[in-house]
Amino acid sequence: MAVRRFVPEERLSDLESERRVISAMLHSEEACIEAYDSLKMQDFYHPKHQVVFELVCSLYEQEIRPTYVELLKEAHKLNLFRDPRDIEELKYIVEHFIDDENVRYWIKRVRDKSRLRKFEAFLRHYYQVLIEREVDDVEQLLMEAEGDLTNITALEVDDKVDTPYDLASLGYQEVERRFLRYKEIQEKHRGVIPLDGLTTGFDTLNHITLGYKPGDLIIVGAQTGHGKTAFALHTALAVAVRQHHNILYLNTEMSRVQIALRWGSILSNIEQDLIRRGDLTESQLSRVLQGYSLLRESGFYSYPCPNLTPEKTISIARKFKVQHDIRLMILDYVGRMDKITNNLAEWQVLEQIVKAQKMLAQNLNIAVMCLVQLNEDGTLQGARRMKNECDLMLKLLPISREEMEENEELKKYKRANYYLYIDKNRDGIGGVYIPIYFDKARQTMHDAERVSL
Amino acid sequence: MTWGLTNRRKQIQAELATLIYECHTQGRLSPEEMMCLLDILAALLDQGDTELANLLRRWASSGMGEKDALDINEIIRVTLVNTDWKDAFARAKGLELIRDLVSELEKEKG
Repeated sequence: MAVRRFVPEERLSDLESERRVISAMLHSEEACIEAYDSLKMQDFYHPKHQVVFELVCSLYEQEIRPTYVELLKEAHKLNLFRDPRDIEELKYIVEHFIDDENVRYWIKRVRDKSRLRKFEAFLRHYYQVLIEREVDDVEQLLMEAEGDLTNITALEVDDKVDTPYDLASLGYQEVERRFLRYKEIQEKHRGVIPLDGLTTGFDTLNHITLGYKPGDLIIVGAQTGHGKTAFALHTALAVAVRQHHNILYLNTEMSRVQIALRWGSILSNIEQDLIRRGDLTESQLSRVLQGYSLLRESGFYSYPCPNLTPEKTISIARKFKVQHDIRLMILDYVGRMDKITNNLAEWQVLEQIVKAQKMLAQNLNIAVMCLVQLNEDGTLQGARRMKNECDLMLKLLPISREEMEENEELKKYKRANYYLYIDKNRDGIGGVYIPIYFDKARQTMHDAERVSL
Repeated sequence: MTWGLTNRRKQIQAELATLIYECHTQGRLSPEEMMCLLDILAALLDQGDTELANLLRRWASSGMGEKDALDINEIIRVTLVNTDWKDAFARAKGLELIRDLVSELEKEKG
C-alpha cells in the first residue's frame, strides 16, 4: 500500500475514454463489436462502467440492440442501478459522448490504463515482498518478476507461451485422443474415421482432410460458370442444413431472391430452370415446400453484399461469431470484393484479402472458405501467392470429353464430369484428383459413384 | 452499421427514459408500468411507430381521465401495460383493441 499513495488515481484511469467507449457501443454496432472483442470488464476502472460494459455485451450477445432504454430494462431485471446517481452517470454517457469515430483510439486508451494499473500492482507486490521478508534466492525472485512483467509488456491478455512441459502434455493428450478414437473406430464404426472438423459434403474429401477445422482457411477455385457458388451451397447444405451447425454465407454477386431460388432447386432436387419459370406440378411444389422447411430449421445465415470490403467481412464475421457462434464463413467470392487501396497491384490486394481471412479464421477459431476465380488453364487468377496462405486449396476442374473416353481410371466411375483437385493440403496428402458429379441443372454435387464390378 | 438514432432523438429518449426510471425508483410507477412506458418510448423513437403515437394522441384528447370514462381508460391502460410491443402479432392485437376503445371514448364525448 505504500506505493499507491504516490500514484495519483487519474494516472491509472481515464474515465473519459471509458465513457466514450461505452457511448460508442450504444451508438454503433461496429464500435460494439470492436469493444466487445478488444476489452474485458476489468479493463474499466470505474465500477459502474464495468457494470454497464457487461450489460451492453450481454444485450449484444442476446441480439438486443443495446440502447439506453434496453440498458435500463436489463438493469431493472437484474436489480441494478437502484441509486439515482447510477442513472445520472449512465445518462451522462449517453447524452455527452455520442461520437463513435475513432473508437479504436479510445479502446486503446482504456486498455493502456488497464495495463498501467497492472504494472502498478506488479510494483506494489514486489515492493511489499521486499518489505515483508528477507529474500534468499534473489535469482528466483528476479525471474518471477521478469515473467510477470513480460506478461504485462509483451503479451495480450489471451496470449500464452507454451513451456516445454505444456507442449509435451498437449502433444501427448492429442496423440492419446487420436489413439483412443482410432480404437473406437475399429471397434464401433467399422473403420470409418470420424472428422476432426466440419464435414466437406464429399466422402473422399472427408477421408483425406478429416473435415474443415477451426482456424482453417480453405480456398476453392473454379472458372466462371464452373460451380463456385454450387460448391459453396453444397458445403452449406452439408454443414448447416444436414448437421445444423451455424454458418455465415457472404455473397458478392447474387441477390437474396437468387440465393433463395437456388436453395429451392438444391433442396427439392428439381431443375433450377423449372423453379425459376414456376413450371412445376403440384407434387413438385410440395417438394419445394418441404425443402424450404429444412432450410428454415438450418443454421444457414446469408448476407448478400455487392459492395463487400475486407474490413466489412471481419466486422460481420465477428458479429455472427458473438451472436450465433458460427463455425464456418463462406466468402463467395474474393475477386468481387471492393478493394479500398488503389495503389497496389491486383495480386497484392487479393493476397492481402486472403491474409486477412486467414487471421480471421484463427482469431475467431472458425473455418473460412474463400471462393476464387481460376484462369482457363487452371491457374489462380490474380494472386498465385494466395496459395501460400491457405491450409487447403481445392480446384473444381471440368473433365473433358476426350479424357472421359481415354482415361481408364475414370471408367471406374459413373457419370464423373468434374475433378475436385486437392492442390494443397497442409495437414495431409495433396495432388489428389477426386472425381465428382456436378449436376448443373440442379446445382448439386456429390462423389462420383464407383461402378460395381 | 450505426444503430440509427440521431443525436437529438437520442437526447430526448435519454431524458424521457430517465424520467420514467426515476418515477419507478420513487415508487410512482409500478415495475410493469415502467417497462411498458420504456417499451412504448422505444417503439416511438427507435422504430418510429407513428400508428401507436397517433392512437395515444387520440386517447389523450378523447376524454382521458373523465369520470364517466374511467372503466374504458382502465382497460386501455391495462392493455398498454400487458402488450408486448416488440411482438408484431401482439402489437397488432393491442392496437386494434385500443383503437376500438378510443373510438368508443370519442363517440361518448360526441
